[in-house]
Amino acid sequence: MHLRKRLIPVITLALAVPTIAAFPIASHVQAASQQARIKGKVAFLFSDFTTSARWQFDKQFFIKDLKKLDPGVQVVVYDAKAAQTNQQNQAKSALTAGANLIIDVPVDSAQAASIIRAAHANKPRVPVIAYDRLITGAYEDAYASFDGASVGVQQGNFLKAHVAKGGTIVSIAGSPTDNNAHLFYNGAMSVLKPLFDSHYYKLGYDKFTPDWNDATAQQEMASALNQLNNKVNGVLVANDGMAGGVITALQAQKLAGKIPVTGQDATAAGIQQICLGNQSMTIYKPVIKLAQRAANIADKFLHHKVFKSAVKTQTGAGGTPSAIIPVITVTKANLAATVIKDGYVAKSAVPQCHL
Amino acid sequence: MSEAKTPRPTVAAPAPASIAADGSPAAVRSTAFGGITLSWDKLLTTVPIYIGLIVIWLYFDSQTAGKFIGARNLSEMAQEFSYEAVLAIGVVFVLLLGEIDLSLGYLTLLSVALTASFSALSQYSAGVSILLAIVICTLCGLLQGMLIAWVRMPSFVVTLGGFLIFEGIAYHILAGSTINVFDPFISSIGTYYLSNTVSWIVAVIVVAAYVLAKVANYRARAKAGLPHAPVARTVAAAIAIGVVLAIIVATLNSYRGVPVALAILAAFTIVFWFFASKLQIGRRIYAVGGNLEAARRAGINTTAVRWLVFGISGMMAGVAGVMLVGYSAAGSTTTAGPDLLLDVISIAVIGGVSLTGGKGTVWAVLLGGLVIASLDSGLNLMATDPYYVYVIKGAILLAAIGIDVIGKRSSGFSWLRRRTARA
Repeated sequence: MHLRKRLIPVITLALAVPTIAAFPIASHVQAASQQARIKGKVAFLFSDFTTSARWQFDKQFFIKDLKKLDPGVQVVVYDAKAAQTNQQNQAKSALTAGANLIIDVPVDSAQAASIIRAAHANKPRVPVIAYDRLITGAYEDAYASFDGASVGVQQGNFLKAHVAKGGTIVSIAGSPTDNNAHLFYNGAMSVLKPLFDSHYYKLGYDKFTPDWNDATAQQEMASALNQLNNKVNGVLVANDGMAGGVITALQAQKLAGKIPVTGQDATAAGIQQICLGNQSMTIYKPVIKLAQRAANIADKFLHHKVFKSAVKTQTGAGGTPSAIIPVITVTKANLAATVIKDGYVAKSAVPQCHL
Repeated sequence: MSEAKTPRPTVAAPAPASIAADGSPAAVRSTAFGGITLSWDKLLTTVPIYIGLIVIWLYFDSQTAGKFIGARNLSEMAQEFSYEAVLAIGVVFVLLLGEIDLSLGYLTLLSVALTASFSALSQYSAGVSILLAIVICTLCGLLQGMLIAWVRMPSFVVTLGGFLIFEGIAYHILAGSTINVFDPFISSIGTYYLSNTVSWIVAVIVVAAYVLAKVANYRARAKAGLPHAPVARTVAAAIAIGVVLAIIVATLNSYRGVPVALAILAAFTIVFWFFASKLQIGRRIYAVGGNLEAARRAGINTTAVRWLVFGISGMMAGVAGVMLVGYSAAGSTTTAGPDLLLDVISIAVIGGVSLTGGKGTVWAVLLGGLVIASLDSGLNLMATDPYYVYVIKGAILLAAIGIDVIGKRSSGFSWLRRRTARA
């Protein structure tokens, strides 16, 4: 009998688990050198370390660059485990602990506005830098990011250059709930949509992929190939992870390496596929440059100076002074001079490239 | 209400589930209708699912210009659902106990991470990578089972802990990146096909095994002086199995053959069906799930049974992870997770496994898996907005649980039974 009673909490729990799983987890603490010209504390709030390898690079590069400028400044790193409420709590803790500057990778761009409000209401006022993702609905003091809009444009342009007239294009976009996925998609479509409208190309299959799941992308590609009788001439894939799934689906039809496949993130797995000829390109975001710019801006704020920039991003009246780092299309031809040279992907991680 | 006194031949719903342990509850229930055993409860709980499946298939087929019920799509569907169904086998056993294993999604991810990193990073051979991943996952399952069975901690708390721990370890191994797996043997698990001849041979062996098992069963029962089911019924069943298998094999062969992944699923299903319904230890699982106290008083070591079940659950997560790496030729943090957990619980429940324990068979994973895979595949083929997928899956899950819960009340489908009895 008690078994039946147990049923209801069990089901509730099965559904509640993802929420509970995102509960705050202790943060990494990184102390820079104690010797100092100026002292201070920088709180670096990350959205999550688990689902993307790149944040580790952001963290390392930023700490290294800031240490060069201000050896006495301590950087405290937080991981919000992909929950905005965690990040909010962490921001409060950081302010209580006396942070002089907050750098925030928001989980949710709109909700993160409350972090800015709390920081600005703090005495003394603490400046906030939005890092990689814009915070909307409040005025951050600076915004440092990549040129996200051009990611899709570069992917679209690549296909335009490599797919002949009359070709059929499949689009496997990212998570429908992720604003970036729409940004990338719209960027690519700004190039391709006129070509679809003029019947220069045909859009054969068009789908967003929940959670950017690579196995789902593979199933979608298999369905697309089936639906189009394998007549596909180019695949617009939003990132490298899903490109891997798409390539496996293409391999099942002996089409891998025969048609252009795009990607993004310059992951080791993506670079391997590029060297094998299965993936045509990836978009590399030079984190090393972004971290450097952010460290420079942080240095200014720590010295109580203002960061000025001709580049503004609209977050409200006047716009936020911004540092926008261009992204780079990486193919077999330039990977050695970009991702490998910057140390973003180690040579040993991509033996397929014979570097 | 004179109908209330109408004899109900199959008031079997509240019957001790342990008796129905051989997977054919009909056998111990009414033998009305001149020897033709029928269980209304069984019929009423599975028929709507079959009807639903047919509706889903016809709808998708009409929407995709006949592509959906094409050999190619069915073959791809088989590849896509095999690993989920294999994982669901573990879920069936856990649910038979009336327990839950929330850790399965991330335990599968752990298996994915282990298989991928052993094979691609440590450069171990395929066999070693696969074996290590499955063994480690089995141990994880046994460890959880120990806390549940011996320490008597509630399974949802233990496996919730496991959920977080396995997530953490898997994320640590994968470090947020994708690991490509180029090993041809591992890929063959997810993407290769049995040759046409082999497929036919396997089908013939399955039918032959069924017939031989039945003959042995008759002999044994005759020897013990027990009655047995009519021969005609067994012959009809053998023919039916043969025809269904022939259709499946012929269809799949007209594309590329039977996917290796489907063959693995079939093998596991048969083995675990045999384990659950023919071996003493398997039947004890039903006994413990049906009524823990009664099973204990009957002298069954209920602790060991519960421990074993979580070991099986862990092992199946290990196998599913290996199959998943074979399917995607890579491992990443998005390869498996909580969505997979909800899918496999749905598979078991849709297949007729009761959430309160003691009721259901391993075959559930085939029916439930087919329903879930059909939805995924059909909506992919139509390039439907993914939001709908969640809503539709949720609705089907609720419908399946509703049927289960209503069917379990003694009065559940009585209005229908009465009506049919009158007709």
